This record gives sequence, C-alpha cells and structure tokens, in this order.
Amino acid sequence: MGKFQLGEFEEIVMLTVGVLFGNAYGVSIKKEIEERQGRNVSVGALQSALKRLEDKGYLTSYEGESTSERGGRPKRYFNITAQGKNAIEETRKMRNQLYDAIPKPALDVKIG
Amino acid sequence: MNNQPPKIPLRFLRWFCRPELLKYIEGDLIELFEERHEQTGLRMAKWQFCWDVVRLFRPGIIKNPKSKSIIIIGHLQEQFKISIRVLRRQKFYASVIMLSLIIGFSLANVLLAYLSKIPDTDAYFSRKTNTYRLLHGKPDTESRLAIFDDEALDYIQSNYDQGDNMCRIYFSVGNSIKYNDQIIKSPAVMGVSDNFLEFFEFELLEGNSLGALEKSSVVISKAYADQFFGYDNPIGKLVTIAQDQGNKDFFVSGVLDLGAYNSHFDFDILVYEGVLGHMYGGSASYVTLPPSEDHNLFTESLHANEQIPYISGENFFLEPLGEIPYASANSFLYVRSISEQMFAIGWGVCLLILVLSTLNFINLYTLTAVHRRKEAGIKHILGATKSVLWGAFSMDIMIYLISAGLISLMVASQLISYFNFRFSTELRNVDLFSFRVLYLWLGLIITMLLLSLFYVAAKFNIKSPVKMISRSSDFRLKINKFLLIPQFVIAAVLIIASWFMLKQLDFIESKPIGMNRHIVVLQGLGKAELARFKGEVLERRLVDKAALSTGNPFSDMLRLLDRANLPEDGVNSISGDLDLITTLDLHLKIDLDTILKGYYVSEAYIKAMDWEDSAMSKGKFFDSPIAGVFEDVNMASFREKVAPVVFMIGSQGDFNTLLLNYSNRDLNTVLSDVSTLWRDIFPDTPFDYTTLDDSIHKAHQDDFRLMNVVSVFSIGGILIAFFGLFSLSWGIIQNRTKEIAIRKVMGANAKQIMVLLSRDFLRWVVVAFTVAVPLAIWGVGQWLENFAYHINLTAAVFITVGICLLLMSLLIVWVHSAKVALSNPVNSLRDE
Repeated sequence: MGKFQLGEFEEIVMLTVGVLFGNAYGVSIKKEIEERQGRNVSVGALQSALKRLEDKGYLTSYEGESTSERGGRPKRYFNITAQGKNAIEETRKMRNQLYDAIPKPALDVKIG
Repeated sequence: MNNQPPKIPLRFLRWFCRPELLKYIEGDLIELFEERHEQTGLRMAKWQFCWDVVRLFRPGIIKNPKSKSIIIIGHLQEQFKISIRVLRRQKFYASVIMLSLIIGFSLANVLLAYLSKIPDTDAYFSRKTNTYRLLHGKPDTESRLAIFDDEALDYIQSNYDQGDNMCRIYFSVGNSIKYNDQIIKSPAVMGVSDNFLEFFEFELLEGNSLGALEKSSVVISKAYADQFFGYDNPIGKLVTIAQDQGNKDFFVSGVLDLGAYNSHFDFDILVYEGVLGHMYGGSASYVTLPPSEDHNLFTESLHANEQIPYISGENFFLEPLGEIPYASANSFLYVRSISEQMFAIGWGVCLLILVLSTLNFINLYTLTAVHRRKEAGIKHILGATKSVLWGAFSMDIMIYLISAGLISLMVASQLISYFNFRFSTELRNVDLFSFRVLYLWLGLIITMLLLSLFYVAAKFNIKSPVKMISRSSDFRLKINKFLLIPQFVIAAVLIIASWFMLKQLDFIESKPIGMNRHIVVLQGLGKAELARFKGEVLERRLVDKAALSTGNPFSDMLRLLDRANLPEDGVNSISGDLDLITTLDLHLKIDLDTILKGYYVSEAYIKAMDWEDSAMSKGKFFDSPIAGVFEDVNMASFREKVAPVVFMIGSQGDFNTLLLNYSNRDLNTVLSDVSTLWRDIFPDTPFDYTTLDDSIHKAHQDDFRLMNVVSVFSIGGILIAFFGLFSLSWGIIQNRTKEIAIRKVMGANAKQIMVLLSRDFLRWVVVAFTVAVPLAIWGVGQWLENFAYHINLTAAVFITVGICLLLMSLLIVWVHSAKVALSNPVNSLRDE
C-alpha cells in the first residue's frame, strides 16, 4: 500500500475516469459521481483532485474540442495511466484482503 | 436580459487560477452554468456559479504567487522602511498619537471583552436552548416569581414526567467559612439538588462529580481551594460553615473552577439542599424540556392542575436560560445579572471612546501627512501610480493601528485585574481574544484605515500632483479644528456626568435618613447570646446605646400585607427591644419620657391610612393603640419613595441582630474593642459585622459601579482630547512659523502673537462646550430620574468644568505658541 497513496475521493475520481473511458472531462466526471454516489461534488474539489492525480502520474490529459456551450473553451479529457491502473488495483486488493480477514461472527449482525 | 455568467466571480477566478488550468475550468463552469440556466433559472445558475468559484479558491488551483510576490514583498519592505523613518523623524508627535490610541484602545478593549462575554453566558451548556427557569405568578398581576415553595415543587417533580429533568437551587446565607484558623467572610453558598453538577454539565477540577453533593460534603470554588489549601489536595479536608443557626462541619468533596464556564451562576460554595438555612423561603427550579415538545402544554397543564400546593391556579412561565442574565426581576444573589440600562450604557461609553479615538487619530494623522504632501506629489510626477501612494499612506496608518492595537492588548491584560476588582467581574485574558472581540477589532481597524485614507485623499487632492507640490494656501486646517469639537463634546459630557454622579452618590452617603447612620450591625448568634453581649458592651461603656432587633433596619425589614389596619401596599416592619428607638435615634413627634412596649409608626403610615394628625391617637395597629409616631425614615434604596414603617417594640421577637450606636466615637476603635470582647466571650463564632452605611452603600451598588465606569472613561476621554489639542496646536503653529516670524519683523510683540494663536482654538473649545452642556443636562437628568431623592443640577458644576477645560486648553496652546512667539524670527525666515 505504501507505494500508492489514494484518498477515498481520489479513488472514486480514478474509477469514474475509467468508467467514462474516452469521455472523462470535468463536467462529465462530476455528473457521473453525483449520479452514482448521490452526493454533491464541487467543481473545486474535483479539479484539485484531478490536478493531484495528474501530478502523481495516475492520470494523463489532453485537450479536446471546444464547443459553443462552453463559451469556446476546450475540454480537457483524462485517461488512466499504467501507474494509475496499478494504484487502483493495489487499493482494491488491499480492500479485499481486509474484507476477507474479518472473522465471520463480526459481520453476523442484524440490520436495524 | 444578461444571460452571461456573472462577471465579478469570473474576474476573480481569472485572477487567482493557474493559467494552465484556467481555460478548462472556465469551460466547465460555463457549461454547468448553461445547463443550470435551463434547469433552475438564471438567478440560481448565477448564484451557483459564484459559489463554485469561491470553492475553487483552494491550494492546487490558486496560482503560484512566487514571481510577483518578490516584487510585492520588496515594495512593502521599502514602504515599511520609509514609514518607520518618517515616524522616527517626528518622534514626539508620533508618540502622542500612539499614546492617545493606546489609551482609547485599551479601555475599549477591556469593555468590549466584558460586554461581548455577556451574550455568551452559559454558551458552554449543550442544553442551553431547551433549558428554562420555571416562574409562576398570580393571574391578575404582572409579577413573575422564580422562588417556589418546597411542597409545590415536590408535587410537580413527583407528578410530572418533566420532573425527572429538574434541578433546584436554594440561596443560602453563610456568614463565613473556616478552615483551621483561616476565615473567609460572606461566601456565596448555594444549596442544590444532587443532580446539579450533572444537570448543568459542570466538571469538577478535583474530586468525583458522582456523590460530590451529599449531606456532609461541600464543593468549593477554585479560589477558595487555593486560598485554604494551596498545593495540598483539598479532597477530604474539614471546613466549617457558620450560619445564624450555628456552625456546621463539611468534608470537601470537590473543587469547581466556575470561572472557566461563564455560567450565569456566581457562587463560591455548593452544598446539598436543605443542610443549611436559606433565604427567600423556597428554591428556584430549572427544567430541561425535549426540544420537540410544545412548551405551552407543560405550563398549561400546571396552570390547570388544582392540586399544586399554595400556587394552584396561578400562571406558569418558562424563562429561557439565555434571558436570565438580563432579567431584572428575580435577580438573586449568586445569579449574575446586568440591568439593561447598564448594558446599554456600557456599549454607549465604549462607542463614545472609540469614536473619540478614531476622530483624534484621523485628525492627528492627516496633520503629520501634511509634511509628506510634497514628497507624494513628486513621486506622483515621477510616475508612481496612485496605488503606490495609497500604499504609502496605508502603511503609515497600519503601523500606527497595529502597534497601538498590540500594545493596548498588553495594557488591557494588565487592566483586567483592576476591572475585575472594581466591577466584580470574572474576566480572563483569554476573553480579550474571543472571536467576537477580534472581529470587532478587525472591523474597527479597517474602518479607521478607510476613513483616514479617505480623508487624506480628500485633503491632498491626490488626483492633481501639481497641486500637491504647489505651495498654494488651499490646504486648510479648518476641518482638523472642526474635528476637535466632537472630541471635546464627548470629553466634556463624560466629565460633567461623572461629577454629577459623584455628587449624587455623595448625597446618598450623607443624606439624613431619619435615623442614625452610625450603627454597627452584629449578627451570627442567637437571642440569648446577643442579649448577654449587649449587656457586656454597655457595662464596659464601649458604646452608649445598643439594642436587639430582628434584623438590619436598612435591609432586613419584613413586609406585612393583607391584614386589618394596613395601608394598601402593606407596611415594612421590624421588631426590637425597648432600646431600639433610642439606639436608632428616631425622632418622635411627641417626646416620651420612657419608651413603652407597643407599636410605633412613621408619618408615612399615618398619611397612607389617611388619618388626620389629630386623630393619630385613635389609630390602631393590629387592634392595639399606636404608642408613638416618628418622623419618616428611609429604609430602602434612594430610588424608592419613603414607605410606611412600623416598629414593634418590646415584643418577644426572635432577635438575631445586635445594633450598636457608635456616634461621637471612632468606628475603628469601637470595632477593635467590640471584636476583642466578642472573641473573649464567643471564641468559636467569627466576629461578623456590617454597618448601616455599608448597607446603604450596598443598596446602590449598581450606581457606584456605573459611576466607576463613567469616571474611568471620562479620564481616558479627556486625556485623549487633550492629546488631540496638544498635537493639533503644535502642528498648526508649526505651519504658521513663517507667518509669525513676518509678523514679528513687522513689529508684533509676543503677547499679540499668543492672543492671535490661541483665540482660534479657544473659539472651538467654547463651541464644543456649548454643545456639551445640553447633552449632559439631558443625560444626567435621565439618570437622576431614577431616584426618588436626588440632587438638583447646579450651574456651578457646569461653570467649573467649563473654566477648567478652557484653562487647560489655553495652557496647552500657550506652551506651543510661546515657543514660536519668543523665538528669533530670523531663524524661521532664513531657511528657504
């Protein structure tokens, strides 16, 4: 784990970039997360997470087309890098390991 | 209609956002804006756009300020250096400005900390919003009482669910608390139900909250623990509390640092309810209700319940905890309260001082800035932008304000102990840094900065550099002198007000009250012991007259109501032995050779009963004939009119008080003699005395406190005003040196020049005083209205204050003008 540092929100952003493969830019990522998670995501939080992930080398970006509804500004599309792929896999593996390590009786609780 | 995203946030975004991210983020924001525009409307979309921009202002998005900041920091450093150099060049002048700022700031600082703490009373308490004090009152009256009879509360607690969340408070009378040979007199003792600590969420500094309040245990304040035990562990130590009923021993079970809570309670000692006697004949009760519950249901069901002992059918009210600090009704001992009048006056005085300091600062600062006018003009011509010029002046002002602010914080932290002592508050240094106070300061400093800058700009004609460096005489100091007026008005009003307050309080202390004021009041023992002590005192001729009574005649009168032969509002009564009338030196209307057992009434009583003087002898009290009539006595605060009084002489009352008349003797000798005798006879009971004068003083405590506040601030105010005049006259006279030199060369003598220079200033001081007089008359009149007995406004005070102001001002102006008038004109004329 030590090698790959991913916060909870960063992980969600990474995964969503993966889900939206080829169409992952600011607004689409924001909407996807809001839809799937049912939580509000601010442009500020998202943009700074994207910037951090790019700085870490987990994401790459390229400039896309500019459209009129964006006031002529271009989109910036994101893709997961090889290192990014390693990071989400590592995180998932660790999660599963932890889950498997829980003794059965601990989860044998009734809801409500 | 404008369908574009709002411009200002966009501009803000462009200003702070990293350039490499800007176009994409802007694109995203505009896309979202368009979408929201269609879905939720333009207004909402704009609002959300703004909010998004605000939330983008975070590390990672904000651009690296490296490149530009070096220039800015260098620039600021340069400005700072220049400002400091200017300050050092005008050392004397700068220190006067600084001093007046520090005085104003320090006073305001302490007062702000105090005033802003009051609304935060009980803020620590998590259930503050849904905890109430229970009140009751008869349906046809306005009065609401917090004290309940025990039986009524017992009934409510055992018959209502809400009773589980109630807490009772008794106000006990403790004459003293003793540990070994250390004694503290008149501690504030509260008897409370055992859930008190848990209910009000108090945590003990020492000891365990559970079971801390039991029959033989006591919780004491940190101050008491420090005084009694020092570094020793106080838990388990034995202390003795003395009451009229006798002494009781308690084990210390806990120490509470009440000051850390800013609670509305103000007690020193907590004991379990019922173990000590208490005042007011019952207890106050607090109740927490579930936040969702309709509170009227509870009070209405209490109202409808006919089973509640004594008070069935009365109305019940819930007084929110947050209102208790301002409640003038039901303000008991041990409950912190401030009358709304004091609260308002506090803010008023604070505001006055701040206005005074601000005016003074603006006035003085612009005067120093005059000397930099030319410099600013040259800079302007050489290409300095306006922002650079603004920056220079702002730097000056900020240096003044920030350093004065910091120094005044230090001064204020020293003032706090004095303030606590004078006004019996519990301020701590931390309170100076509470957020509310800091916000107020920030607001104040920004206001002062803007006002001063605005004023400088208006005066300097900053738009036109040519005018700035020209020597034209359009630069007038008239406005500066004009600003002096409000300063002097404020100072004069404060001084006149504090003088009249002093006179009124002096009047209270010396006005004849119909009985002898030179009375020592001894309490703390039973009737038999006191009677024995009275005999001993008289036998040794320590005093000439002594009497036993049922209480202090000034404060412990018993009110009799609803009986036959009583005036409508009832009558104050006190019982005493046969010597009471002579001891108090009551003036009987018809002299009697010997005082006989019976009822003695005051003239006000005869008046209230509508009896004619001649019919006096036929009057009856409780079916017995009246034994005598005496001239009116004032038995309560001077705020109230003299009430009818009856003395029940010679009855077999439960006397608990010994009164000693020490007229024609020195109080200190009498006290030391009497206390030595007391210790010989009653070694176990502490000597606890008060005097009638003390009681009168106590009844007007609020007024004395008010006078303290006003007098401290009026001294501060007048100092600031004189500093202002001092520097202003210096600045103005400096500006006129050349003119004066020319006048001298042309033949004017020193006297003429001094008159010329001072005439101008005096005119302004006179104007200020004329404005101040009606204001002071109004203000002081309002305050005096509160008193049934008060002094009249005398012209002498106004005249004296006026003359003093004038003389002081003259002196200040003359110091400066004499220097110029006596100097050699050649020296001032040659430097050009």
